[in-house]
Amino acid sequence: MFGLDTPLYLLGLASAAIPLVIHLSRSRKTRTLRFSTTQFLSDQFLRSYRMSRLKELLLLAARMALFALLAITFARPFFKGTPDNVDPTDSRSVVIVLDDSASMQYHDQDGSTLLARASQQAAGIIEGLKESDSAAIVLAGRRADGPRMEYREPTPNRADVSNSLLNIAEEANSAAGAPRALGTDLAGGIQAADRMLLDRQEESKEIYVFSDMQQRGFSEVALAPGEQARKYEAKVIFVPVRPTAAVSNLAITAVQYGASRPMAGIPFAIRPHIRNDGETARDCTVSLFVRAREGAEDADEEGFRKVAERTVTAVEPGRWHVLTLHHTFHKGGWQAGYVVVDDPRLVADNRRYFSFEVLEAVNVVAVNGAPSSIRRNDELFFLQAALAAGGAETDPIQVTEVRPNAFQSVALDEVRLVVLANVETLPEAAVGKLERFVDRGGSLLVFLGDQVQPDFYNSRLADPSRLRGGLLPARLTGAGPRGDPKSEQPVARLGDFATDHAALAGFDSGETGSLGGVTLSAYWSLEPAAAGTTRVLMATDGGDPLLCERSYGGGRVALFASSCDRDWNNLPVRPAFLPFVYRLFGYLAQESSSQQADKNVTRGSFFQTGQRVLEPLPVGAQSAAIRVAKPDRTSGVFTASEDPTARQVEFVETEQPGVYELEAGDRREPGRTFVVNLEASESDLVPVESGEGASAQIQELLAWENDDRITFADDPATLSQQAGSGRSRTRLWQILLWVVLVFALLEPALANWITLQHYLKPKSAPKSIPIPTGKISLGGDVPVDGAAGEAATTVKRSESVTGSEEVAATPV
Amino acid sequence: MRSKSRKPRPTRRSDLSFTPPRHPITMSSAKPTQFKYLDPQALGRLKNLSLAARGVVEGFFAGMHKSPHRGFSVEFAEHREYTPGVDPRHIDWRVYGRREKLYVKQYEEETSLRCHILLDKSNSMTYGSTGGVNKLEYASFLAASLAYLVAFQHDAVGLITLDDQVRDRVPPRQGAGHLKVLMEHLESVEPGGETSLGESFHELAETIKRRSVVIIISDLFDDPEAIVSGLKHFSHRRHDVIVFQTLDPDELTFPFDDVSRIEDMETGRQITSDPRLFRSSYLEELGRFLDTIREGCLESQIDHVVAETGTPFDAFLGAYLARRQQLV
Repeated sequence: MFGLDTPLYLLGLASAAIPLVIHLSRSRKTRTLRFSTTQFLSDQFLRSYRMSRLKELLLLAARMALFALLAITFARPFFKGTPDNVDPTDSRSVVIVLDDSASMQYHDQDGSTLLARASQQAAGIIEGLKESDSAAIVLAGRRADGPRMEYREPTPNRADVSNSLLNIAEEANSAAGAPRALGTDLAGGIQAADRMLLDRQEESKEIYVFSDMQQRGFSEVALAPGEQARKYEAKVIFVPVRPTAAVSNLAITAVQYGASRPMAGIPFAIRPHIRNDGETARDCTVSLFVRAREGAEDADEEGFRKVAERTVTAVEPGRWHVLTLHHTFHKGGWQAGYVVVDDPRLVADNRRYFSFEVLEAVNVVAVNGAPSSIRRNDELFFLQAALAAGGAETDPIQVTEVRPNAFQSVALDEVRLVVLANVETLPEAAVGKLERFVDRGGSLLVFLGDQVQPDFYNSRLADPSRLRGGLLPARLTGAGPRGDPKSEQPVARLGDFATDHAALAGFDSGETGSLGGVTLSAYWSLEPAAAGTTRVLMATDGGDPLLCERSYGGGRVALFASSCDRDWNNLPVRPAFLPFVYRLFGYLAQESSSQQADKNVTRGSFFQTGQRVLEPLPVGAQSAAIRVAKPDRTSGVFTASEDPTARQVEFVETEQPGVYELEAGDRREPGRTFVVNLEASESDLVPVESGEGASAQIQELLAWENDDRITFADDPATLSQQAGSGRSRTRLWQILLWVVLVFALLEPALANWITLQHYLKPKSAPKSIPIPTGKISLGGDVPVDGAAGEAATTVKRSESVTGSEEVAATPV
Repeated sequence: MRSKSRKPRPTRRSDLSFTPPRHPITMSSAKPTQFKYLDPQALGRLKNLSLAARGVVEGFFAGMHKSPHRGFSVEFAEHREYTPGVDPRHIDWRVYGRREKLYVKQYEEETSLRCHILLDKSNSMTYGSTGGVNKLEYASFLAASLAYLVAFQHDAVGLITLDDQVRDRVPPRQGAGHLKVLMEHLESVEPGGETSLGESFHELAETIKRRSVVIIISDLFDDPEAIVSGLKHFSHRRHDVIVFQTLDPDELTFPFDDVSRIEDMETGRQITSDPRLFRSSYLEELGRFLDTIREGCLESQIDHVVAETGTPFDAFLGAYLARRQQLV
């Protein structure tokens, strides 16, 4: 098989046109001469001329071939022969770029991992090297400080390199070894290998990239200033290492939270996203683990304990399945945990860690629409009693009671929730204040009652023409409430409710109390707003909406169709009232999930493996003071950033997925944690296309422009043999160089020969041309005298001037 | 006797021999003893051929020609016995007184030279180097000069023009009036036609009955074998033949370097080739051609002279005539 080392030089083939252009330009300088006779231009001459034309063309072809061969020689053509045809003088420098990302941990049908197989194949290449060769290994998992180079430069110690590869293979197949949970950085790995080979003197520079060739495993490499990718000349051979059977993989690629800062004691919703990257539907079990107490017996090796578990059936391939798990944190502060799915094929993407700060207490403003001097008749009596029933030194929900007319003067900066309890009306300014409060992320809980003016609620709070279509999730219908509060017969009972909602989860099983005996003597009929924006969380047994919720800007609004005291229902005297209130308040008082992204970015709690963790450096703080406890209980430290002007420190030891805890040295937020997870793209095992399009696609993924260094090993099984044949290639450019040299030497000789043959005047003049002019007819040997003699002498001289001597002496 | 009086072949040149004039007439009086070589271009501007020819020829002495026909002229040759019928006026009575036999005096006859000038007017004769006279003009000057020369000796001179066939024929006559007619013919010669000298020579050799001097002025660009054959025919008819082969310097050196196509002026044949290739092949072929002509002339004792048009023709003619005189 023929190949070219530097095919760009083929552009020099255009130089072959130079002799042709010169030839044509000279050929155009012609003119026609009308001459006395052509009888002396014989057929033999014409045949000679045709022959000379042929020779000229031959010379022209030789000159063009000289240029063309020179260009081809610079392109360094070679011919790959059989491994038997080994050129011992051809030395090779080989760099193995090994994709040790998480996807390479995939357990194939035979139980071995792709990484182990790739390492063994790479070891085969190393073993095929000779004494004059050198080799190195680059691990192309995504790391904060770049791909890991096992050797600074290619080493001639091939046995050491081979052993390293075999150790990697053994470790990858070992169940005891911690799974590598790195992303893929093939581009960075290749660049590192390129830099390593740049100044090597070996004849052949080869980079073998062993990877499962995920489509999303390539990313553009940032070039150093002044560095041009084009200067690299090493051959890049991609060796796909693919599962031999159909891929089967379940992964948790994301975890969604009910709130970014849950409330202590409030059930917290966690929604893991389970993706099936296999080819068939799979059943699975998803478990929720949170940090266990010190010394807990049920804690795992990382100190977490299982708090929830759900079984999911038939996760369709290529789709996400989202389920909701709940957990109540009973203690404030930084909490962490993970969600895990059981999948033995690729373990690294089974877990998803989370970390957030649980709030101990929030401020609530309750607008009392029906105050009473008699405590038990006060509208807020039961709510306040329930919220104060925790017995803790500090109530987690601090309620501030105000009257409707005083609401406008209340500062809501530190308030998370506003409760309207049987409020008749509010001033317009108060309504606007409420709208802005909720829109910025606050929550509003509205209890109705006998004081409520439906016109005010419908025209002010539920007016579709107002901001975001009005605050309330439903309009009040009817001229008055349904039922008679004074009647002893209830008008309705509590019906269905959303058991998957954070505020209501657990009530169905009785775990947190039963809502079964709740009866309603009166309630307002609600007409929920458009579907999609409002969710009915509770309904009567007749199907009337009882509790509705909607999102409003950055916050939430909940509307309860009955009262919060026992005037219209018996809920306040039911055992479930306390948890119901607590959960409902806590749920609404948490920071909404829509604020989660911003919070995470600003606080820097979620990272990917191999990602650089940056932390602003306080004035006067020392970088060494911030220490980090890594998931494996070892300790790391933030170091100074490369950019001294940024005043920030960075932490690069993020290869392990898990929970990282800032140690006590960080006095700003003791116990603060951040988590590092595997990047979700590692779970997508779809490879780049194979065959002819692979090289082009890889070039596109690597953002390389027309780089012809890439080849694709279609059959990895024969890779070792193919690599061996790389040495056996015949360097045609050396032969061509000799041919060019011969051409260059022959060209002047050939040109001179043709010129002598056809173009130069004859060295000896044709004797018949000048001689008859004077010597025969004028008789130069005859003595002459007088004027005639002088004339004859003069004639002789004149004839000699135009005669043979000039013809003979003057070259063309 | 007649055979004794005939010298070997070269001596036949005496038929057209000249002696230097006692008072040479030159075109310039500054140096009367030297020939003034006239530039052919300057001569070319002289439209009166007669005047031009006179200027060239009158510098020579025109000697008398002894006729090979013996008769009763003024110069005694020998005696022979009287036979009845012979004019008794030629009886030499003094010999009769000594020997008592009747002898008559026999004189060498001084008769006019008959000269035929054959002028080739084919298209090839119109070639001339850039800025120079063409071969036909040069040949015309040569013919006019020779005609004037012959007429100056009171000999008869005629003119025949030919190309692929014989065209105009002016029979040899004596006298100034005839010379004028001949000059007018020369001035009115129009070039044209191809060269076919061989056949024309044969035809003329048959038609010129009386022994004459035949002067051929041509480039002889024809089949050399045919030309030599025709020349031999003249020689066979006992004519004294002089060949002035008129050639342009370009034809002798072929100095062209930037010519890629040659067009034959007579045949229109075109040959495309590399100009540098033309030269060597052309010169070789021309050399062979001239060799053939020269050797053919040498065999037949024909005087063959190459007249290069780059040489001032008065110088050429003067040198030639001086050479002829030395050979007499």
